[in-house]
Amino acid sequence: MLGTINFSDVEQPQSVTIVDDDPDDREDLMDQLRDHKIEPRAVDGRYGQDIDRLVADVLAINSPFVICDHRLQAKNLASFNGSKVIKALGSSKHPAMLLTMYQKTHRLELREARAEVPVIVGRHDFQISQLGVYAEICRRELANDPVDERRAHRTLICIREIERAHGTKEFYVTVTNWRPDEAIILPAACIASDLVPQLEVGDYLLGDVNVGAAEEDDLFFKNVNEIVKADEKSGL
Amino acid sequence: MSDIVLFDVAHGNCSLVRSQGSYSVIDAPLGAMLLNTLEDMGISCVDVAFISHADKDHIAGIIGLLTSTTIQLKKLYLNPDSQKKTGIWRALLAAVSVAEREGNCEVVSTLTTTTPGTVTVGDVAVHVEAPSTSFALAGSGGTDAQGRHITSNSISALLRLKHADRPGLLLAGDIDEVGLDDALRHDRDLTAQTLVFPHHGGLPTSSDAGAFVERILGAVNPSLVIFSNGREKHDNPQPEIVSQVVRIGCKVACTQLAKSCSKSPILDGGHLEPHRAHGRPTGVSCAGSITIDLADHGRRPAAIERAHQKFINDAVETPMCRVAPNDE
Ligand SMILES: [Zn+2]
Repeated sequence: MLGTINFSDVEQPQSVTIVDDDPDDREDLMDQLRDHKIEPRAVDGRYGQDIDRLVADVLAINSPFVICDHRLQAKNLASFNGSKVIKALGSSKHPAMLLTMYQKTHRLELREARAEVPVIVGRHDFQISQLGVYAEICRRELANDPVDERRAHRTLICIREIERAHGTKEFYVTVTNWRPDEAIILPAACIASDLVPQLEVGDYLLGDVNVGAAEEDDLFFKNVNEIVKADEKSGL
Repeated sequence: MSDIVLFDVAHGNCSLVRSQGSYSVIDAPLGAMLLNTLEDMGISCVDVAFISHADKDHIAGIIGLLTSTTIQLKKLYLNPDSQKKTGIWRALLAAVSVAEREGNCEVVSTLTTTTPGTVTVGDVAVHVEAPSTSFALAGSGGTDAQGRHITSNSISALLRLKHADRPGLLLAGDIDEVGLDDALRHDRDLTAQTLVFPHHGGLPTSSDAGAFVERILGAVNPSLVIFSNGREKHDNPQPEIVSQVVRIGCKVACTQLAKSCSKSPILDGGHLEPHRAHGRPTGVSCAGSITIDLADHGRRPAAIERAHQKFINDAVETPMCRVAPNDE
């Protein structure tokens, strides 16, 4: 559900810049864009750790929208991930979406980045016909008027289980105002670091979460920085 | 202006009273609809909220209101429910302690005919017509004077909204025959122009559906009956209930399009009110979110009512609300 916006009215971008290290995937996407009369443009080069140069090149191409692959390392386009590129473009108010086939394998890494990545679509689910919608979701977010699915509200997060593995902790939580009966993993990196050692099963955290999210992989967590210990709950 | 918006929240209840710059929220289920709507309406302070009873489809959204940092809730009325060991009830307690910690919300753990009895929201008086104090004290898990089992639904608050002494609207929560009898035994005046039917139009647990409809409609004497229903859950409202309501001569409006009325969804016929409606994007809203004008005797604005009726006539295959009053 995308609130009151009427997405049938949104226009497709005229041109799109593609950031993808794999030439086959890139060509495939460019063909699809051409078929829909959208001019594809691509960045090509080796950027190593130089994200500023990549972002400068993308901005110089100046398409109204960017599609960025998540894993840019395999064919040596860059040593950083696409989610970093989206964040950096966002700071320049440039709309960009993430396209990935690693949505499940890199689930927690993407969850950490999700607050600053308005649209993540799996390659399998990507639809060119939805491009105008993807772009509009990004545009609204950069204009500080996010769609309902991306609006954060302060909510309780209940700690259901804590697993210790390889010296780190994994928190299985439920988000009260999203789906109170569906446990998901909250990466410790999303929680204020001083709270992490205090957390026990039954405690609640407070954080800003987009509780209108349709799916688990659309959830983001910000400012998870208050705790309600299990024993301080009101005695109604 | 004094009105109430009954939101299409799928299965559940959620309403917002607006009167002379004062605001009240009664029940809210999961999700962000209430908070997004309040923010977009520019409402940063809700004067009073009520939780009719302790079920998830009525309280989850109030938890969000208690923890919200963009919208302040000043006062909350609810009845405790000692039977509730559910996660959502525990979450409510946690949210109440957050609100207590912040010190900006007064939580009143009594919602009965005597305390608070009546609460005013701008020009609107909200009268608590049930439960009585003794019934609430017996509590869910207890028994009533006739030895019948009292459930969470039985202690649903009946809230009657009046504007300048006009009997506007009755919100019935999920009240059942045991709770209704508590109100009738105490001679509570339940009359209202519009009734939001209890339990989303689901079947009452222990009495005959027809008898229950007759009993509640006899007491309320409404001209319009509203069902706050979810198409994808519980198949409400139940045909036995709707047909009896129609037979008695009341108009009917459902927030969502029941499967008994239309096998397929119907994408926005252009008749929906401009408020968020859960079923709008997927074409499962029927009336969608419904505004009732409390300053105009608790009725729907005429143009909206006409557009909805036209939608039903033109687009809905087998509307339950169109059973002829004398059909068997
Ligand atoms: Zn209910």
